[in-house]
Amino acid sequence: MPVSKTYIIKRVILLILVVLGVLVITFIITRIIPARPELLWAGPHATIEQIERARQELHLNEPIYTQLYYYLYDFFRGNWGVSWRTRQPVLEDILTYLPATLELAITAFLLAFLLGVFLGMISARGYGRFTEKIISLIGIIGASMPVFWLGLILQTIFGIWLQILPAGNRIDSKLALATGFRPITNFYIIDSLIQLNIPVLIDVLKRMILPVTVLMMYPLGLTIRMTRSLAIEVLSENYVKALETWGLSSRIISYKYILKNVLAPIITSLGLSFGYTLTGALMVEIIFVYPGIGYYIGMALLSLDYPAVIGGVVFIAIIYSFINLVTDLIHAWIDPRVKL
Amino acid sequence: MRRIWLLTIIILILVIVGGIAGYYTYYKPATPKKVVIYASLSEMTTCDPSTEFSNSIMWLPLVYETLLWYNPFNNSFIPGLAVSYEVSEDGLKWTFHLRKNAVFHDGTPVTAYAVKASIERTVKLGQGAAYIWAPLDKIEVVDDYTVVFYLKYPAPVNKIAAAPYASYIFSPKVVEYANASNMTDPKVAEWLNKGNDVGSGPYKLVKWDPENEVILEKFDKWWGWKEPGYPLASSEAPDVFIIKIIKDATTQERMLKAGEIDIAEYIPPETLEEFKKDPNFVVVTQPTFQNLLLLLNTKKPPLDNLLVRKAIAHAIPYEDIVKVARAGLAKVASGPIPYAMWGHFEEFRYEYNLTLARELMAKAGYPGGINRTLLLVYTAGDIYEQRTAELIRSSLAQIGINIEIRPLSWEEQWALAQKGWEDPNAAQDLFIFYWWPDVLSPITYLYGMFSSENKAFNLCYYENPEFDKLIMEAYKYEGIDPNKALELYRKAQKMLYDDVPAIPLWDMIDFRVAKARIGNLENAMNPSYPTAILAHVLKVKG
Repeated sequence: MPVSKTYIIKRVILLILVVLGVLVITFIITRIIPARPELLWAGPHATIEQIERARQELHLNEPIYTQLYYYLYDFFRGNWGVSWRTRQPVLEDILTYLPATLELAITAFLLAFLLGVFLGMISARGYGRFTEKIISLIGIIGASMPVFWLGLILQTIFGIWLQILPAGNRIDSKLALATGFRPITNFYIIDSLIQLNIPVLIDVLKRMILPVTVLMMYPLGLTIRMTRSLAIEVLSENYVKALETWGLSSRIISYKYILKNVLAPIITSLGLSFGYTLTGALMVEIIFVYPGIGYYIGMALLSLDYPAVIGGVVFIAIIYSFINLVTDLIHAWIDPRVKL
Repeated sequence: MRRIWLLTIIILILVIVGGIAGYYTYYKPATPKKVVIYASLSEMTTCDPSTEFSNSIMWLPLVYETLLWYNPFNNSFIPGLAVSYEVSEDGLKWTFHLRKNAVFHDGTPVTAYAVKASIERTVKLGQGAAYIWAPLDKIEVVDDYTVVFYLKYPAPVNKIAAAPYASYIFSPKVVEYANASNMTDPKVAEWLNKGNDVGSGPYKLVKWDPENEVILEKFDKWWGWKEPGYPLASSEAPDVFIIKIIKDATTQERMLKAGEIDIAEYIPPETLEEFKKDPNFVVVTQPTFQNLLLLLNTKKPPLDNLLVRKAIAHAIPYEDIVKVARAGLAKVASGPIPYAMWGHFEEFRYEYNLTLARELMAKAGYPGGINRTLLLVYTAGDIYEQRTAELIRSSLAQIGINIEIRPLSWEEQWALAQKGWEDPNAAQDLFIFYWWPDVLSPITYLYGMFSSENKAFNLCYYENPEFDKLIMEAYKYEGIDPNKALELYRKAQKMLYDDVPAIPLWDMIDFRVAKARIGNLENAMNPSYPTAILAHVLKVKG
């Protein structure tokens, strides 16, 4: 792989700086908005003295920079604080919620990528105007439809009116109990396969249909439109004409020669849209009561549970920067002309 | 290339065949269990029955038992772990007789020793609601099934023992399980908070994921299942009761419609009518012990004038406030004790009568109204308080009283009000205020808001030594001679009615919405144990 060591080191340092920046900004925002988080810590029937004690325990009576210092000091020791709602360690919580989001996001991304390239190629090769129109319509709708709106609409139609798909939740608790399903890795698809629990596997997959559909719309639209425009560009190149005159079938031309030129930029932009998908996951998971990181942050926000909010946001920043790094590396790997 | 395809196909076939084979060998469809899912608006908090003083009340009364359960509607007690009790004439010695067939979830019998150990742990830790045991002197074990509570001063131990917090009995073996040295060792709390339970109630805690779901499973050896005619047990109770945390009212509504949950704790109240009409759902309303009052600054002019206070009391559109501010989910208050609580009387409502109010204003020396704008404060963000405040302002304007409404955070509001004891003129004039009980007795309202000994929350600055004496006397008699206590409580409330230090506005009504298959929901709710659904009382079809 044509990647130099210095490049990787540079990128890792940049990653740390970005994450640190996100952390500091989020931290400051949580401290300057006018709310009284000590009330949460002290509990609902707290006396004034208990509330005052809570303020001291949480260092809320000290200046923001001192509070930040305390937070960073613990943060780099792997102590991301405890949730003010439940007093559970934040990092532990995040790691238990993470698999649900990854399961959703990865499935959505894989589907968006495969389907998007396929549809984009069809549309580029021009299978009649009607097909083309339908496909570009999907592309436009996917890229422009707000996630929360689409989520609510699909939930209403399929979950509440027709009742053919579950309207929410990651797993049917009743079924899990009846079949003795126990999470092991917290990736429920893997867990149900390990335990050969087919009913739960089917249930889990069914429950993923709506959130994955919503979540994949944006990357799908993006992929379709990019594939199409890139492929059309490549199609007009001379070497494609040469291949045609040599009598190669158009399928081989499309998927063996054109695709290679199209893939690299698509992967890069898909990687960038992963951040957008993570933000979308917040809405999707709240709407579908799907307990992933987005749901965790959403619930933490609703109750002003700041350590959980900061932890969640920083974690997403880490994932986002990491994915960006990985996409750049993949780019270099696919396209030998790129040197990093 | 072809080989790769072949390999993929072979692997795929193997996985599918393996899956199906595994499905038939390992998966035996269990007998279908009756499962009920209850959506909670808030996450659960802790699992320690001694110190928990928050949201976990939603499941604590299902997993743990108290000596008695309180029925607020007729001020009676339902036996819990105790079958009977008697009290000495001076009200200082309370003897409880325990039932002999109760066992903890670990199989050990519930004994007098366990009762003593549990309450002593709660008292020693002194957290949460432990202060309700303040009158307790010592606990004595007479024999395995008899336990005596000695008090420092008379108090209704039956009510304390039936409290929603700090009165649960648990297995003393918890010390052993937690590998601790004694009951108050922090290791015990740590072990409990991992989601372990040592109760004796109808349900066992089997899954503890406080931010997502808490799963309870029927405890087959619970004595109540076998007790014929026991009011807190149903033969159609669910086998599994799940508390699912869904923090948003609209989402709860959608999940209920989609069939993902069976009972919603809260949905947007404006959608209630739609559910009431739908035969697939039941809507149950029930009184709560939370009420809203308007506290008057009795030491600052012009409200130091009794006639002005009375004029205000007659110039508030109570019915409209209930209809508009609470969408009908409240009842116009009569006195500071909510209508569902023992000690409430129906005779303390003020009539809404603007002519009378104007006459009173004239008599007080303000025929043309008051030339100062009065300050009314309420807790910012509370929509019910806000709407109530607006209605009060527009109505009082009609008798010549102008009001500035100022929303404040609770602490600011409280800090401002605290100034009133030293300098009444520095404090607000009017204060919109919620109260809810810690002990299930009128005393919490009367002492809490009106005793001159309780300066922290008597924010009307009302001082009446006769009243102070009267209510403590009433509280003392509550356990020994309830009728006498009731008469004293009536007298005390009459004093408040005449002196108008505060104007009670409304008593809150609560609701739950459930699928139609959930029967007997109204009896599974008890305002003494707010937010809990007593699953063992439910009659679930299908």
